[in-house]
Amino acid sequence: MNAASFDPLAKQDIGAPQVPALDVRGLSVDIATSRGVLNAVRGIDLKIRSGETLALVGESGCGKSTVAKAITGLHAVTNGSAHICGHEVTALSRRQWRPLRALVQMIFQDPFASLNPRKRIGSILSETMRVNGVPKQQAMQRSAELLERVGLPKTALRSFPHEFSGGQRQRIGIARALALQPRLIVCDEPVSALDVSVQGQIVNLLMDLQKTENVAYLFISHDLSVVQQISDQIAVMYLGRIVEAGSREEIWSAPKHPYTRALIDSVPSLDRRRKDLSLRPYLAGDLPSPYNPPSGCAFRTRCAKAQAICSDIRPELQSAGSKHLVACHFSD
Amino acid sequence: MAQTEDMQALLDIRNLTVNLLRSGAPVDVLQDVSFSIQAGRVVAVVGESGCGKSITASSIVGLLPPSMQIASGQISFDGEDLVGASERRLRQLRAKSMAMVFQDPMTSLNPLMTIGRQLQEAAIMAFGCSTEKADEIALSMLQKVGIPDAVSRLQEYPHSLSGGMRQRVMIAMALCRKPKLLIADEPTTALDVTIQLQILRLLADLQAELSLTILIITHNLGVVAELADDVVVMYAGKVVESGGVDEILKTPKHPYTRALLAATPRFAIGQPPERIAFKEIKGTVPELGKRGPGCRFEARCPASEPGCAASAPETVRITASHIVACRSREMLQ
Ligand SMILES: Nc1ncnc2c1ncn2[C@@H]1O[C@H](COP(=O)(O)OP(=O)(O)OP(=O)(O)O)[C@@H](O)[C@H]1O
Ligand SMILES: [Mg+2]
Repeated sequence: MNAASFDPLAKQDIGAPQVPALDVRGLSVDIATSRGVLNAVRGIDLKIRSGETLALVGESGCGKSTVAKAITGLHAVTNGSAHICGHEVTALSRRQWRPLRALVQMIFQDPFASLNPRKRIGSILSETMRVNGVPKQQAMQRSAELLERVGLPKTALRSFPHEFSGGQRQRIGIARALALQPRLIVCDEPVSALDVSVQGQIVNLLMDLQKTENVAYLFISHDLSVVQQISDQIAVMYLGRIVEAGSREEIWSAPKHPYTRALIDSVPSLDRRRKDLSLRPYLAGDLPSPYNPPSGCAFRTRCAKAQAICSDIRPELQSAGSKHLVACHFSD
Repeated sequence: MAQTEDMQALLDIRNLTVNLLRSGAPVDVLQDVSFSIQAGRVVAVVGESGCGKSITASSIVGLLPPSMQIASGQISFDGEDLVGASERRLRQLRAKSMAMVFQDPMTSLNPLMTIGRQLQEAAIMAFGCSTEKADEIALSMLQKVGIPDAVSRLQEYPHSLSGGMRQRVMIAMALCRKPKLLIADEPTTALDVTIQLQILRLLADLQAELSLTILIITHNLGVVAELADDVVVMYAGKVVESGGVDEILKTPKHPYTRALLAATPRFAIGQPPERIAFKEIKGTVPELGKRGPGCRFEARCPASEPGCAASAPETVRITASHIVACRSREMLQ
């Protein structure tokens, strides 16, 4: 990447490498809806070191996307703080956000919905740079470089989004996110809409870009098979709270929360057959209503290990080894 | 275990070609698709987005989009020809013998009608029975698919149910007809993994209990492994390989099947996977109308040979059940 000719952050303090790319403390987000107040995120802590990936996993409705919106200024925060490269971002106005936009970008699940169908790829890519004061000529040249960086031909600059496949559109979304050389990219289910063969291409591209650009990812996904590849750290969310967090190796070799274990065990496996299905442990029931979560441990209603204490006392997230936190009274 | 051609199949599709009619020459959406389903078996059609899985299902039940047409081939169901069947006959078959379950249950559930009414209607359409009898069937099917408090659920509307519960209701509605064939098009794709597992277990239980014949459409090889007896692999409108589940997953012959398997991550608790790059399949699927005369995987194929682009490969029979469309001798060994 041609950093010398283009550096929107030249005069900005992006912090020393030891400053985390993301530092979230006690983050809570309440959402007022027609059905009452929803406590979508309930006091979570997250930290992502510069150039690393934290995967946030959990079932739909557990609050993952709300976390993403809260730290990118798309949703108001009720409590707590979020620092991106040392800058507090939870209570900023639109104008205050503008200089920080370069630091954090987003990639979305639906690459089509996130690209304006009436604009050529060239203007989609250069737009953010133009807004940040990069001259037109330079922005276009950089757009061409970005396209090559994500594996598309320069000629794509003149095309419209509908001329590309889902995977190619996701590449364009990634190129756009990279335009301002962010330190953090929030990826909200970036490959869930793609076919396996294309998923691999995009995950590989993201991993490759991380090495060359030293960008950190908050990688939000419900798909553990993707997460296992890309993450350095994993945090598991259930009904607005982190129930387990740790290094990728720790979580994989020894998951301690029954929910994490169930999530991993539920992924269909090439090595099992139909006769194994009835013998497999599985989680019964649905995610409880987030409007009316169970007392104590929110997971107890689906947990095989639940005892009386689980409905009385909510287990705190506690250390379970050097790089491992778990919130369970009966953790493995 | 695996199917052979000699047995009388419940469903037999031979050389099915479906065209999309658009300005200029028609383009084929399906070309020469052949496979069969023996009664009591679970057959999975697997392949990536746009390869023609859903159009195959629509052809069977006679619900092709108006812009599409069966150009040639046969579909026989329980000994009856479906390609030449009247609209009226197809409607009858859909009401009784062939039931479908889709990825998004909300597209087939009526949001303004209680679950009980919808199940009742399905049973009446299938059997012409009394409403009392239909209600009885409705309740027992709702219980069979594992919906708690089935009696009170009958009074509820679809929107008050979770995604997993709605899919159970769809399955109950299909079962109300006592169908000979259940076609499930991506029934678990929109669900979380824990709920997906519940639905897969349910389908397996129902299959065992009722000897259901199931055609499941999925893009997920893990789902194929856990549920199917037989597998049909499709690529760009064609069947590239078919066979028993172990034949396809353990001794795949087609380079596309192999690539798809390699691209599917494997893992288990206790073995932190190496943090290595995914095995990707380079390039993209050829678009409709831009598919040449040769093998459609040729441009992406690691084993392509001179000649692959010029003409379509013959299908080669590896075993009584295992068939592959590839000309590479090396692959077929
Ligand atoms: N109503 C339609 N009109 C025109 N083309 C269509 C229509 N429905 C499907 N097609 C095209 O037919 C081809 C086969 O589509 P089909 O829906 O069978 O794919 P699929 O394998 O089910 O994919 P997916 O996994 O995305 O559901 C695709 O190229 C698709 O774009
Ligand atoms: Mg489909």
